[in-house]
Amino acid sequence: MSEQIVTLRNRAGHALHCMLTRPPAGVARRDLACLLLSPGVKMRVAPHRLYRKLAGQFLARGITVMRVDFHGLGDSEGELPETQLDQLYRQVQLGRHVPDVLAAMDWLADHEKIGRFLVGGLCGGALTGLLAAERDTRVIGLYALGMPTVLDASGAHAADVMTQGQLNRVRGIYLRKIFDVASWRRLLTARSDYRTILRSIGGALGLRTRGKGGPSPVEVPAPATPPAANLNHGFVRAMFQLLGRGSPALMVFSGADRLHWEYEEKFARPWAASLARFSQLLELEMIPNANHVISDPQWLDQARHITAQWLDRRFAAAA
Amino acid sequence: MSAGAAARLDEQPFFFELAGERLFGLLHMPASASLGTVVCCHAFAEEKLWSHRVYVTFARELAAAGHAVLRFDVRGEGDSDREFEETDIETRVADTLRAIDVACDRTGSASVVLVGHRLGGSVAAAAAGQAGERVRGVVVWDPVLDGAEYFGSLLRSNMATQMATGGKVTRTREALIADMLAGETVVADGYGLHAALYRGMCALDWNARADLFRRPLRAIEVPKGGQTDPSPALKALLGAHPGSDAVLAAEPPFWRETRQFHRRAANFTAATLEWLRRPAEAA
Repeated sequence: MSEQIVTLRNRAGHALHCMLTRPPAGVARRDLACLLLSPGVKMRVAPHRLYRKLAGQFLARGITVMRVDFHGLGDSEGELPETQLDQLYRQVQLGRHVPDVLAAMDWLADHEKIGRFLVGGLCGGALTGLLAAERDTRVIGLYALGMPTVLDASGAHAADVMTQGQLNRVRGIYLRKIFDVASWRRLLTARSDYRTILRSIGGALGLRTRGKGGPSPVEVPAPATPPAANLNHGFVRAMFQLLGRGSPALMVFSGADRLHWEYEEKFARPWAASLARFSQLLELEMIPNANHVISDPQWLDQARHITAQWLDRRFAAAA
Repeated sequence: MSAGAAARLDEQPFFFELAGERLFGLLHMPASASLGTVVCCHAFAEEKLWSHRVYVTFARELAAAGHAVLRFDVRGEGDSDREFEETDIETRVADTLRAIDVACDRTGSASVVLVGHRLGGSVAAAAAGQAGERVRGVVVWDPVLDGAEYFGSLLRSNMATQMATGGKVTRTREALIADMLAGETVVADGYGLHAALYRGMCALDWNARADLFRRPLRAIEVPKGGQTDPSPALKALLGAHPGSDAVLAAEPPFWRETRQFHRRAANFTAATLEWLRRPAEAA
């Protein structure tokens, strides 16, 4: 794998240090590049160099890969003002780094003569790609691993925005502690999280807390149920726009990751009726038992396989 | 500096070669006449990624203070060649020795100071022991004095993943080590750990390695609890090696996942700069 360092500048003038990899000799280079975007604060290589491990699937199919460091992260210039990670993640989820993605696409168009792009990556990288797709029709596909559908630091108590999947898991933990003296001591000395206990156990007993709801954006269909309090409406809007223009999206989730439940309960089910007409474009794949960063080699093999299958289905060279 | 106002920095990313393989480096050039060159040895695996931005800021602050700084990725990590599983402590030391040469060539310096973080500090000290006069001294942030113990912490991560995904630990620390020594690769946080790495790390025992102290060395220790002086064990260890000292500098554990976004280690940086400003004979 022969990589080239690319330093490009975003509109604010920050140098973004990126890594460009062209398809190997013998593989026809196509008018298509994949941008793998910084996940969280882990820079352009991603946890345990995940992006390097996945890049081969794209390169083998003639797709150029660029791994991008956002401004204020990795080696790039700029400073991010947040001191708390949830606040930083929130800004990512609101699209702070979209201009960096657009700058990277501009660079590839100018220097590599590439006009079509797949965008995404892990977690916040995937979401930034989706939000960039909303702004730029050169994006023809979304490649999303463990993409968040909610906004961090929404101000809500964690128990109020937990999915039913999370609540079921938490309830199991509490029920296992029912004969544990130390746990009862914590409960009776007010050191337990009563709100979480009430919502997790209460749900099983038929008690329900009221959803906070919120206005639906006009650009998207109305959900069947009120939106979750911490739903990222920007995600919903961008997803419907991407699908509405006929571009496919691959959503890969890890079995042991709460993000799957969030996607299902806060997006897929409430908008199931509206999403039905996009069933040919929106693909959901699960890696059973995997953690968020897909750290086990077996999970990684599955991710590679899923990626390869999707690329061959959606972006075969002859297409 | 706000995110909206870009200040141009003199930073040069590049690849350099070692035996036909490429290593990623980024040279931060000083804002004024150089006061000397520093080569940074990063922490290990995921600790490297969590602490990356702190190292970037540290390099920029040193450059602003007049030092040329080379940060680089060892093979198997970051953007350098090789799979992680094909590397060990020996490759990390070799990479550091090569980085020292590259830094001297690019800056015109005759010698460098190595700054190493966590396990990178042990690697830096080991490289300094082989580099002779090319290394003026070593600064180690939060030293890992016992490589075997550190390796145990990596295996705990494997066991935590067992718990999280399977609900129980089916392979204990001892079983993991036995399997590794029998030739298996054990994965922790996505990094494949193997016997050569284990043996190399176990050999990084500061109490048994006089060669780690061939060059002047400053250890910057993170105080625990109400600690006001470097720990007795560290003082005793460094006291046996003239030219070495230890100081305390409080920092949150920015090399692990916390709720904070860490971009700067002001106290580590200050303790490093104070040592760099000493006359060569004092250091």
